[in-house]
Amino acid sequence: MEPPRQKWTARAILLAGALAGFAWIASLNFERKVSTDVLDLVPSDERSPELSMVRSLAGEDEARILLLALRLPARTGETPEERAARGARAAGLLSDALSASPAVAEAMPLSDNRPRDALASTLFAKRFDLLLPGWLEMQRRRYAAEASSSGFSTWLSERTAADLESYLAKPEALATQDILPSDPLLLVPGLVGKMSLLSQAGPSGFSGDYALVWARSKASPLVPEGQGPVFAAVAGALAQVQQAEPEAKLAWTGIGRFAAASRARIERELTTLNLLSLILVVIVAAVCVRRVYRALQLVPVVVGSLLGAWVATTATWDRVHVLVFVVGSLLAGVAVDYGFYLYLQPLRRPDEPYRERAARLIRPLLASALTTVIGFSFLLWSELPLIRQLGVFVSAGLICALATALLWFAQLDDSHLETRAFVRSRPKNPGPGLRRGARAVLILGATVAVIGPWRLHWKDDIRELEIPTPELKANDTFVRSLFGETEGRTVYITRGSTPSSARAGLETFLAWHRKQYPGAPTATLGYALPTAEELNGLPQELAQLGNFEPELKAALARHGFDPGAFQPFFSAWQAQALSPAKPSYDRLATQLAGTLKGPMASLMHVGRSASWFVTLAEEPAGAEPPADTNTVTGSQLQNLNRLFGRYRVSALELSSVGLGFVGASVFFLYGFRRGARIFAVPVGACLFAFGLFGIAGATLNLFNLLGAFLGVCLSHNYAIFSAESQGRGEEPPPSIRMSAVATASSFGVLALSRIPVVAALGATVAVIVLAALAITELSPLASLETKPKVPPL
Amino acid sequence: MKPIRALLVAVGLAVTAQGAPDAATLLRGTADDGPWEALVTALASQGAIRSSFTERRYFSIRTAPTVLKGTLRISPERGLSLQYLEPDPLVLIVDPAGLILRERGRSDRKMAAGSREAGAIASLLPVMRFDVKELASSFFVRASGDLLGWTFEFTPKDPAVARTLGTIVVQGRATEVKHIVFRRSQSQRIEIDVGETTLGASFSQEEIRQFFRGPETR
Repeated sequence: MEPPRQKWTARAILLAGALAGFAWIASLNFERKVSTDVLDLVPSDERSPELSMVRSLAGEDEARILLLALRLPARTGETPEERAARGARAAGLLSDALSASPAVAEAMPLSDNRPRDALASTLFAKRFDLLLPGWLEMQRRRYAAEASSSGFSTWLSERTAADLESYLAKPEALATQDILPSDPLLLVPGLVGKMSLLSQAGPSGFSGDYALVWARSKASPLVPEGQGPVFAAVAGALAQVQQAEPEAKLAWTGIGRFAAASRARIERELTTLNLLSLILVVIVAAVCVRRVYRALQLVPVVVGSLLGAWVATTATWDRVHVLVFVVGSLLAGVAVDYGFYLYLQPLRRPDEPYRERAARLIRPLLASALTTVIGFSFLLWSELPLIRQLGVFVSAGLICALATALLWFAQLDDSHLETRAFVRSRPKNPGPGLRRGARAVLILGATVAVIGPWRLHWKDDIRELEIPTPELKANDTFVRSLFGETEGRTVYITRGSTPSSARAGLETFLAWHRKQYPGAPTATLGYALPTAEELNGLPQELAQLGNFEPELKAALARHGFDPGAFQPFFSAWQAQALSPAKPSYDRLATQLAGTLKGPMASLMHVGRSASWFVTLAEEPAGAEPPADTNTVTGSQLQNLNRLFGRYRVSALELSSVGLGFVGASVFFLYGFRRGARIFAVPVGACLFAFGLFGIAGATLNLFNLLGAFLGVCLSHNYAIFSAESQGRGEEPPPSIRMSAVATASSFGVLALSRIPVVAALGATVAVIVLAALAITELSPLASLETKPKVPPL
Repeated sequence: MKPIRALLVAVGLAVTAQGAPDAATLLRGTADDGPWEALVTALASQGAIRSSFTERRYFSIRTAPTVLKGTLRISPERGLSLQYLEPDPLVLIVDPAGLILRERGRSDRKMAAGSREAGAIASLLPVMRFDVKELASSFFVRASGDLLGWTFEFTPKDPAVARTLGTIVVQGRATEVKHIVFRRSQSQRIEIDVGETTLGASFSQEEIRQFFRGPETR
């Protein structure tokens, strides 16, 4: 019988803790608290501005775009024109129905030329402010390169007339001839020519059999409001189209479809894995202990551990990524360890009180728990929120597991559970054959540990954080190809805190691009905006062109033009030259960005804290632009993968430091000789696991590294308990075997996950734990010369 | 076209031309087109063609036309190609997928079929193929003259397109196209004189590579 005061005190503390914990959990809004957004894995204050920009871009308007392709089967005897007209009507219907939905911010058929017309109209109306400064700067460079003896104004007049004459022989002159009387400098046609890559990239509203519609959702696709209501809007719009065109079929894509699929699958995965893990732990207990129902006494330890971990993590962060709970839920396999150690520890005498037994175990329990907590605490210094959250989850979970185990068994009258005989059995008189066999296995393991890690390959891919959805991916690729997104082109994004700094960055980037990819065409709306220097220098340039008008008229006449036909241009030129008021740079940029509607809005952004330009280049993604260009490739995947690669290095450094502290703690507690023998077990198991993966040709990632860290901390517990038992002249406790098998089972379940990184973590922990168990079991056999009283570790 | 077949068509047209009206006839690409059906069929089935041409572009801002010279190629499978030789070398390809502008030292510029950028030039392909049945859905097609001098006039049915594109006039003799005009107004027009023509031309692989869309861009 345990003293009643001890029991009631323990019960009161446990009850108070459980009530507080469950009350906290009940008060949480899980929709807001738990995130499935991959971008929540990236720090919001990411130190690299370009990566910060990628994060913000991915979360903003770009991510809200929906691409819809409507297919209408051809009717008998229908001409292509009639079919195209039918497609246009259906696209209009779909677009109108989407626009009417409160979930959709805007929608339009891609054949709708209004956004382009609006942009063209603005460019033409403001051509002297937007395009003239850059044109003059370019002509200045040509003038300098030609080293002409004429004055600049005379040279410019002659060059303008010659360029115009040459332009008329080009096919595009037929399309722009109406504006040439107002624009003999070819400001707008020159821009159109430079932007031709963009018009090539976009289809005309039809692609093969499909009529194309562009839309933007109101809410982010990464939150539920941006998913369900949008899907309903699309389904409703299609139903309306099908009333007129019953055979209409719709293919559409948007980030929301991936996010919703990912969320649903992760939730299913969470439920399945937890259940399977719990079942396996119960099976392990049922097989290894005599009175199975008494194994239920381990459940409160697991519950206490997970409750503490959830409370600590949700109290520390506003939003916690669901992967923390998926991975962290496997803490059950670790938390149960402390229960095993306390519950299964053989009694010294039948009436040994709990307090005495706990006092005997408190040193190894504290040593193993606190060293693991110290190790995981170092993850708090990681830049990656997921790793920080995991650090808190595991650390808090382990402390709560230990506290719950100590308190739970303190309030039981019978706090000892006897294991079955086979769990405790060890060879009584190991023969030379067994010894040689054990040595051979250990030597083989050591060889794998030494050779294998050199063959490892590391690759971080953010796609491995989610469950692959090949059917959605194939649909996405198909729809995007209809919208003209093809391989062989690269999208760049140049940013700046102000429009002028973004434009300056663009100029630096374009210079780099010309050098890096000579001859590769680029198109950007940045061409339509001068640099701040060009705009500021315009009044001075115009002042130096005082004689330009008569000189240009004479040059035009020499080149076969009728100067009188250009009166619209000369009137506008005089007005521009005489106008004292020039728009400020920010106002000009804001006006230009303000005219961009629909798909065009993706080309440029002017915001309060950041502005950017998109550049499309005709070359496959290759070299990354240097940092001073403030430019990144538009491939968010590539950028996020690079980010995760960097975090792996950071995590490696932190876990190495954490491991160093774990080792130092062991050396401090157990001295150098025993400490070295204890520390050799987790390190050896870890190297063996990496060696095995290396020889198997596996490609590892950040999560294998995290798994290794967890595995090392767990296996380090086994070494401590073995050493403690050895110190007391006892055999290693059976709890080590049960703990290792339970942990390997629960993490082995993780290896079945369809989320690649979760599988990687599970496989790594399971292999390390089993390897550590093998080392602790085999090394006493291998090191025996004669039968010792107590087998050394 | 094989010489014997061309001769048969010519004889047939000469006979039917006796009854052809002088005033323009509205064609629909059906059997109702009467005597013009045989000519249209003959023009549409000439196979590959290679011709020299001279193009004069009249702009309202110029006192004299801009003159361009080059070689025209028509392939029933690959579309139409205009190889400009003067004043600047340039190749313009028109096919069902759209337009390609090919200049030395630059990568191809492409415009999708049906896009506004493709504009008037894109309409050259169906016109030069004389697919009257297809053209009749978007153009009023009128024919006038006789075998020794015929004229087809294509006017877009859509008034907006008509304003942009104007009227296309194709003139010829027997089974040869001699003159093409794109007329927006008196001061804005393009005239193309078709010179020496090889009917049933065969294009070398090098010609196909240079002057038509490559398989990778189809």
